[in-house]
Amino acid sequence: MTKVLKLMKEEKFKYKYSGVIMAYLFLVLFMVFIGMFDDSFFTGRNLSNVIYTAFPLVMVSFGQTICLLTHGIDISLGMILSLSNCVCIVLMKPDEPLGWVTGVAAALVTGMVCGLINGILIGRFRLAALIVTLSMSTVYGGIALYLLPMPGGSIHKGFAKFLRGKFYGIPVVFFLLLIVLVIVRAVLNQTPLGRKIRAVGGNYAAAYATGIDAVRTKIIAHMLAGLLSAVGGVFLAAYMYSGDPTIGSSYSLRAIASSIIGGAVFSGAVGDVLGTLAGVVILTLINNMLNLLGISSYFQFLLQGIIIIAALALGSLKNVNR
Amino acid sequence: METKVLHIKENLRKPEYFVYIILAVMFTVAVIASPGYLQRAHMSGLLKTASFLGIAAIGQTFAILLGDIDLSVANTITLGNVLGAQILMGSDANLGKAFVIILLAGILIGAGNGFGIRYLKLDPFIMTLGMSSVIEGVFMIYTQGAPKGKTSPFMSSLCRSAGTGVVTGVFLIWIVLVVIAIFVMKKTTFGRNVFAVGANKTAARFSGINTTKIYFIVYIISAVLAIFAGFLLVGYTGTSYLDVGVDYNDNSIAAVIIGGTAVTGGRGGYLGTLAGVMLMVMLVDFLTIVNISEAGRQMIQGGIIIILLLLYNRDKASH
Repeated sequence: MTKVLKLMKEEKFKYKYSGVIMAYLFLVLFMVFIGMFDDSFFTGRNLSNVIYTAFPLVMVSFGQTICLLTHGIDISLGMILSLSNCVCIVLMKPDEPLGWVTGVAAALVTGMVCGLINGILIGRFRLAALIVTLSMSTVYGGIALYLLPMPGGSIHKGFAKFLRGKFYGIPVVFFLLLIVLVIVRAVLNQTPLGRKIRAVGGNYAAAYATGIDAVRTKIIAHMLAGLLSAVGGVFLAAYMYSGDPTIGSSYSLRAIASSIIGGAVFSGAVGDVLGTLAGVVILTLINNMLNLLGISSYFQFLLQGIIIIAALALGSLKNVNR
Repeated sequence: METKVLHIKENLRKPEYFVYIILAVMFTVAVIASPGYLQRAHMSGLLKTASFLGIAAIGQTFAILLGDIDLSVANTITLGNVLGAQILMGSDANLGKAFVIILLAGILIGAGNGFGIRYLKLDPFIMTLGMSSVIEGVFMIYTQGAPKGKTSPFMSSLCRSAGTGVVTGVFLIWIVLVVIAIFVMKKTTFGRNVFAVGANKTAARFSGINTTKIYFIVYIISAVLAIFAGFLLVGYTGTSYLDVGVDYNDNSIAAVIIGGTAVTGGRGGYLGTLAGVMLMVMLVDFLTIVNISEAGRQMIQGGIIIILLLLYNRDKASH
């Protein structure tokens, strides 16, 4: 305990985690607020619903945080989710016992290949990440539309049952989420790769000069982001029992918002997926709250906008030197 | 003489001029590939479609010159469309009222963006994204999901070409705005200040430029032009749609970048954007003419932008 307290007093700790702490503070206040107005909020049923809704966005947002850490951005992640969602459905053989393997494997590979292409264009050719991923987003969306012109298809029943299932009353995806969180966080905060990603994002020239293969680091970062988005796509295929070529269109921007709410910054290097998780939950709870309180869903956009601005304004006002 | 040739050659390699060569090539290909391309009705329609994007892209050019980006353009256009149709209600008598309300809404949106960026210290990307969501909320609540209203005779006439020409009222408005935009960017102190702030914020501030003022003006210009593009769209669509603006964020950003304005700010201008707008509109139009499916259209459109960027080999990331 004293060790923790001592750690918290350090300036470095404050610098590293202030964004994350703000995000969780906001999240707790928000949850208490909703809980006060509605008793059904803290029920198992509602909370599992929140997890199901949040899961794909969590995956995309983790990917987005990784890209932001490299001082990049990836606006095509939403469409990578769409594309892998369609690939998964198209290659799925619903009737064979292990028919889900090809679909899922192909979807994950698709995500990584898309990330690889983005990474090469941004890392090797040094094009601006924003416009490259914006254009690639159209390309991936086009391919998804080509594979699956209409929402539909069918999913392997056993696979869907597994992903929608519960273990001691807790959704299986919650454990999946924890596993991904632990792995991604460990990679970003404890491994050489994570340090390289942050170094490249913090100061490209310095990282290059210290012998870090900056191009490769960027490519790997984008591949990881693609892979994570593909996981989101596969989950959505199982959750919706079908594929949809346009399902991911809103994910990219929401993922950026949740990463930034969670303490990541556009200028790279700073950020933690733990904060990103809080960001996603905050965004997801807005809709949940409106549902519970019976407010027209037309208010969701207004509230979403105001909450994004408010959450970030609170966090950034203290950093006068920006 | 030789140095002059060299000078021209070097200039042509600049994206803002190079894009005109691509535009010319594209135009030639389109004319050869589709027989009716030069017909009056088609050209008139093409220029009209370009006008809406072109007007919205003026503001986006300013924002990107600052090194920022305006993601609220799309929903601002929809708001203009919805407000315009609902206030007009099919009568020219309401034109003045609609004009004033739309102008005020545009100024409010722009000032809101400026306030968030300068005083709340939010990143422009996230501020305009949040604003975009707020605007969407406003028009969803305002229309309850079912937009009503109708264009007025005057607004419709702006979208019809006069006599035998290809010129429509909307196109004329665009051309006037183009001249003003290029003049403001190249010849006025404000324009130079935008370039200065975009190139180096800190240096600009220390050389006595009121950066806060620049930000406010740029975002107000962007929002006002976007909302008027949406208003003009009322004449084109006849009534209002909630997804009328959807493509305008991506397309306006793409047009500006294809036109050679650097995403890092401080370099470029509207002359390039002009060609970028035409290129985007002609691309979509051409792919529709040759009957390529929506899927193929998206793939080719995205692919061509990437190829153009690789050709420029200039918009290097900021580090």
